[in-house]
Amino acid sequence: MADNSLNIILNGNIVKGHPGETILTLANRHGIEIPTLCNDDRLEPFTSCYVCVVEVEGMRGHQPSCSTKLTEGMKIITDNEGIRKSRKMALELMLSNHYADCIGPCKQTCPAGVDVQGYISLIDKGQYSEAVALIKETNPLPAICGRVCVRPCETECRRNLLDEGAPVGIDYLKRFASDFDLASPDKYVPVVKPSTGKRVAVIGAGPGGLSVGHFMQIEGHQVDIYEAAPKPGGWLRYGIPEYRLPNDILDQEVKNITDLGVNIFYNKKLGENISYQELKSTYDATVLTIGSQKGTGVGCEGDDAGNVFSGIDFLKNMEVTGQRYDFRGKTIAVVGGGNTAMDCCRTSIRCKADKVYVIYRRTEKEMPANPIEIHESKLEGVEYLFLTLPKKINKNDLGEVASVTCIKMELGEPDASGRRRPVPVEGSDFEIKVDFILAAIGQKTDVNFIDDINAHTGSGELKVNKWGDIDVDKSTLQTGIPSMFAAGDGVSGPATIIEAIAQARIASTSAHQFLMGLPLQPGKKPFTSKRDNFKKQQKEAYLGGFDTQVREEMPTLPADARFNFNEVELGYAGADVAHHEAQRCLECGCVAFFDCDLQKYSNEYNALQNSFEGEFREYQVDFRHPYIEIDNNKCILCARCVRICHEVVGANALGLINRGFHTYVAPSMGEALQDTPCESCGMCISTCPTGAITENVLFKPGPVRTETVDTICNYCSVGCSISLRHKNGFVMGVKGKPGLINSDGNICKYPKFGYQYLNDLNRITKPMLKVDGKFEEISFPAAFRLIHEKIKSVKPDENAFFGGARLSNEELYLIHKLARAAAKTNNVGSFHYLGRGEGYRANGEMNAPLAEIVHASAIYMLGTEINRDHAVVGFMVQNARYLKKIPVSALPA
Amino acid sequence: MAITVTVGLGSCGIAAGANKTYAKIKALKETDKLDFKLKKTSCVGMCYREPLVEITDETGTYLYGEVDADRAVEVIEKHINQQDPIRDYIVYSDLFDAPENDFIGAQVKIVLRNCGYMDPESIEEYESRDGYKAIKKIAEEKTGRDVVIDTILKSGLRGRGGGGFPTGLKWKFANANKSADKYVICNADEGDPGAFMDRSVLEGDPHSVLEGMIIAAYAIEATGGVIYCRAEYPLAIKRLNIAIKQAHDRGYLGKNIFGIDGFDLDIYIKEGAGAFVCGEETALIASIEGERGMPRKRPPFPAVSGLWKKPTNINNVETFANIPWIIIHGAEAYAKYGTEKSKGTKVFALAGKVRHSGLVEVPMGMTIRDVIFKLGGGIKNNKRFKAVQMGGPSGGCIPEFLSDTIVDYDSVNATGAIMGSGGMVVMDETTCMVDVAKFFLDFTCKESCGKCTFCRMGTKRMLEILDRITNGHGREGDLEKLEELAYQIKDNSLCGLGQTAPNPVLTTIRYFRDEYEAHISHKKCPAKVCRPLLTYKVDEEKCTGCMVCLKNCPVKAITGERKQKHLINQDLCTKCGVCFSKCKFESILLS
Repeated sequence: MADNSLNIILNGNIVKGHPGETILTLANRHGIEIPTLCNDDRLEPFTSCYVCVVEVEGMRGHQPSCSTKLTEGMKIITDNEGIRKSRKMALELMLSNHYADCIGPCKQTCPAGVDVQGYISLIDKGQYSEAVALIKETNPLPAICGRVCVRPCETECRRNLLDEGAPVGIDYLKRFASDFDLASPDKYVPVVKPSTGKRVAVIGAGPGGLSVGHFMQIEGHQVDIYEAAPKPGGWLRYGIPEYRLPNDILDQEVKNITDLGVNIFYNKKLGENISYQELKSTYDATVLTIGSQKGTGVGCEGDDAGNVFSGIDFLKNMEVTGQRYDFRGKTIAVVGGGNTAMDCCRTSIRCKADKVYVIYRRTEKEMPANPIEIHESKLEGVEYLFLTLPKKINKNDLGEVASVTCIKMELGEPDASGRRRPVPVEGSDFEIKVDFILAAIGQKTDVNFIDDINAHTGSGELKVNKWGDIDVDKSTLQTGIPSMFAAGDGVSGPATIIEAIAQARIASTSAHQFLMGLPLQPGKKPFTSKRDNFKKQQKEAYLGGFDTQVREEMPTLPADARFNFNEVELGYAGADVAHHEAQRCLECGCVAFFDCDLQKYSNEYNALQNSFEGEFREYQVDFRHPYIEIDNNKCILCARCVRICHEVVGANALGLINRGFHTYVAPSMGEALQDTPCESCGMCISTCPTGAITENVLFKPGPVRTETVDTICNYCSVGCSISLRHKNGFVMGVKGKPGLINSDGNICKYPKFGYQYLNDLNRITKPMLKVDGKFEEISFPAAFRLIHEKIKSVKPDENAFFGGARLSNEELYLIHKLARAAAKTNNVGSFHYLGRGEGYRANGEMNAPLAEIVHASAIYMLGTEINRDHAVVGFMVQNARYLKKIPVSALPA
Repeated sequence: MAITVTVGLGSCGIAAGANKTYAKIKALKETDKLDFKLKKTSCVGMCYREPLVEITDETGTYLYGEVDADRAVEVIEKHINQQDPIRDYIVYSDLFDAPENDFIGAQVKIVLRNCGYMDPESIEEYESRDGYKAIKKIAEEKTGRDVVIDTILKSGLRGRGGGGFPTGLKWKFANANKSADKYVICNADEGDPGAFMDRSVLEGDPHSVLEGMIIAAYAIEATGGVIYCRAEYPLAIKRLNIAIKQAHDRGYLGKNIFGIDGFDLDIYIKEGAGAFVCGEETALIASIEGERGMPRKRPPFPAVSGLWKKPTNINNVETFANIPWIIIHGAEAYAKYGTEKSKGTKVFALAGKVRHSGLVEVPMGMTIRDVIFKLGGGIKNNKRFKAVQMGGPSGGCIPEFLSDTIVDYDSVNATGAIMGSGGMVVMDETTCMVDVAKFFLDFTCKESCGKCTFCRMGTKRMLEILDRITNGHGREGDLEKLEELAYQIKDNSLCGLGQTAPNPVLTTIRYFRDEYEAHISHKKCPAKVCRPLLTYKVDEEKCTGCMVCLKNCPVKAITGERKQKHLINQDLCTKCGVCFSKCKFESILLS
């Protein structure tokens, strides 16, 4: 046979190409990946995305590799600056009209990037420990955060737009899952990687330090935390009162971390009873997570009076001494409007104060405290003096505070923070009698060990910045000393727990890279498409599109039962409540997040969404079909869905409507998909490179990372290979897998959508025995014993074996063996095909491989509804008909 | 010799009222029992003088211009009844100097040889003017296919649809691919704004196109023919259908035609639904097949895999109309006209700010300036000639200083424009080049089929930039962004629409960069076209205080008392231009 292969120069190398082959196939065959969005090997080349462009010598412009056929002597270059530029621009042009969110605003907003939508999906399915595992990828303290996080996620939650001011109870759900996990005998335990032999010293066992311990220990490093206080937790223990965060919850989460192998040494204060000199000799790296703990005073005349102290000292003292203040008969004034002020005023109530004032110089609207805290404090009897500033603290004879003179304020122009600046109203002074003043105005970082460190550092220098915080490289959190990293409030100044955790992860990554001798690279921010890049989301877009659903509020102690330090928030009552609240999630993030090619290439080519601003198209998502939803906002018009429906399925249920910029994909004639010739096979879903056509599921799909189990579809006799995608046994979807029969991975609607029964809790998975007319579960050995006895109790010929038609060949073979070899009977059969005529048998015995269909010169369909009964074979017939114009005739049976 | 009165009933004539003229003359003839032959013809190219009535008697030919029904009465009375031609109304005559003698005289009519000279609905008239002689000659002389193809090759005829690919070569490829079924397609999907050459040919001489197709079908052994004509050409379709029926009746279509054994051919018309992109041959084929009109990657070229995946030859209307002439007169006669690489003639549709808007056919090699000034009569209202857009939305603007460029494919290409199908939109000093670029880009953006990312999204983004430039919101860097997008779109599009869509922008930036910069940096439109950049002011010298502008201003931005100078409040003015157009004393100033 003559060698008709073509000589091609591919990126400078001489390679052999096949006649009729495209550049894309050739490149793939030679291990060169060319990005493409509109190509699917199951379909004829189309060429619309222009991401697959290459250069061919002698041809003008760039050539789309998906449809450019090889010619003898072709010289091809698949990657250079010009090509990358075009590919990037193609992506950016598509992105400029991709009005869609890769991830929901909750995850976008969370400083630690916790996959909120993912864990809500798992909570929805009762997979609480799996939810905790997902949270702990980025946040090792979910039970703590589930109580005291400031919840920026909930502020951004789009449920707010729909159910005015009632976001999904994200934090409540997190707490519910975490509490379940903490109490579970099978709680989530992260896998610790093999030891690297490296040792890390962490200074401070607050949220930042504990998180560094978690992250670095599971990377295989030995983490030792040095804590100045006698107990772990830092601010979590010494700042946050127990009625919000019980110590035993804190202890349990700390134990989870120490159980990984992290050591915590207490009463060790750097610069006082432990020196950096020791640390340096023992450890390969140090992470400073020291917090920001020095309180600031009221800052007015007389603030040196007795019984005037900083709020954080007030809170801390009680925790350190174990003694509660006794404020019986006393009046307390708390100065400030932040969360510490809330902790102080609510604690004062619990210390049985007669009267508690919060003095705040602006209005309630400007208060930085969590609104729920303000609400609860009011319930508990706290009184607010808004637009009030302490001007002077008046002392009694003992030098203690007797009263405070305040001045009224009014709001002026907005200041740098955007809040309106309070201005004193002249002559509005008034005096209130108080016994204690708690200043909750701010905190400062105290780096009193800096000299100790700098005295012993070999290279570099630890510095503080102009705000008094530790000076670090913003992206890596490395200090001036190469082996030293820092995270948390000590770096940022007083901030939130979740921000400390987020920083801890960055510092841990950097420290890990440092320890492993890798270049320090802050994690590249993955490309994220955002609706907010186009316009601010307004409630009008959501109203009517979704049902309103009442939020499951957190059950709390009655107000009159709160004069103690018992936890006020009681947690969701049970799985039903959690499930109901999880159902409120609007699933803003894209379900195709883990397999979106547009996102993948946008990352690879550093494409930006806002390189080209301009008009964008906004569409209503088409939810009309029970299994298939069409979201044209995400569509890039590759037409793969339209083509697969035309070329392979033959239903022509989808089409491109309009032209140019206004083109979109829709069922033909604007009908609902189910009213068109749509076969509901889901092939469109299988080919969509983004999340524009997806499965419409009844459960919360996440997306979450799933595991796969490969199996054979048992709906019909064709025997297609399929992959079940499941999370801990809950099947979340089915994909075709290239198999012996379905070599292109095509599957039909039965396996694609007919998997819900696998998730049915009432499914029979154990042998059942009917006793007194009722089924009872028995063990497999018992069942086997019973069957054995029954078979033996009669003559061999009196036994008959029936195999289910949906069993695999191997299983049927075993049944036949069991019957003939073991039970010695030839009575073996199946009910299924009885009475379906001889044609089936004759047909089956011809044994023509299905792959031969494409070589037929004519195809005759005899009495079969092939697209219903064996749709994948129907696809083969249709595709042969499309590609080779093979005539197909349907003859009635 | 009998007197013949012929009325031009092309679309242009009908639009100018020629149907009424014809009816009037017919009525006069019948009531007064006048002795002359009344005939219909189509457009002779002098669209600016329509309705046209030609009277031929024993003395010669007289072409009357602007003959409305009233003037028709006058002309018939004087010329027919009193044998006294009205010199003032005559625009062309072979007897004396008439105003438009040059317009006809400077042309070489090959494609338009019959247009305006015969009744397009009469096969007899076509035959009387050498019609179907070419194919009969081939049949009688048993000319081989190779010889026919060779003749076309030697004539140097290149595709008149705009691509300029040698027609003979195209035929040769199609002939080389053997198949039981082959097709010949006539591309009559003329869609460029301002172009109407093909329409005029179809309306004026449909048989010549049919004959061209028959010859092509013979040459490549095609078994079927399709004319893909846009539905917006109802008259052309009507006349084509008449022509097809007549040809069938004569046995010029059907089985064993012209006595050539086994030469079977049927031709039908496929009406296009108005998508510009369907003029692209692969999209056109998809459209005929009933698919969405979207182009596909070439190769395979239609000559290999075209309609129904069979070898197919596609030529444009004008190309086909050339074919019979070339066969009759020979390749050398055709190649006598033109330049080294561009032979024969080219039909242009003159439009825009030119005096003589209409159709002209000129030999290749004439300068653009001559086309515009000699044939086109120069610029309207004695304004300054600024540029000419050639090639429609795929072409570019050729500035005045390059107007001595000669009309041939390669010379025009060198300017950044293209020959295209023959649209020439003439612009004068009152044309804003940014606005022109925007106009054409708006067209391609809307007509993009939406398949390729760069064409679909890139033209849209370019248009948005042009929009903001003409709205006074242009930014530094916009020109660079336009150019970057333009080159990327050209390099990364599947079909000619995308590959050429940026040309109007690129050529205007190339030749009129200062005009763009004036818009962007100084927020000025030098041609005073882009309204948001204009200021309307009252010329205090000229204002008479007549209050017309004041009354007409829709936003009440003009104040003033009768016989007092008026004043325009710039904060209120929406720059609608009503005052400017209403003022009778030219006292509204634009700046």
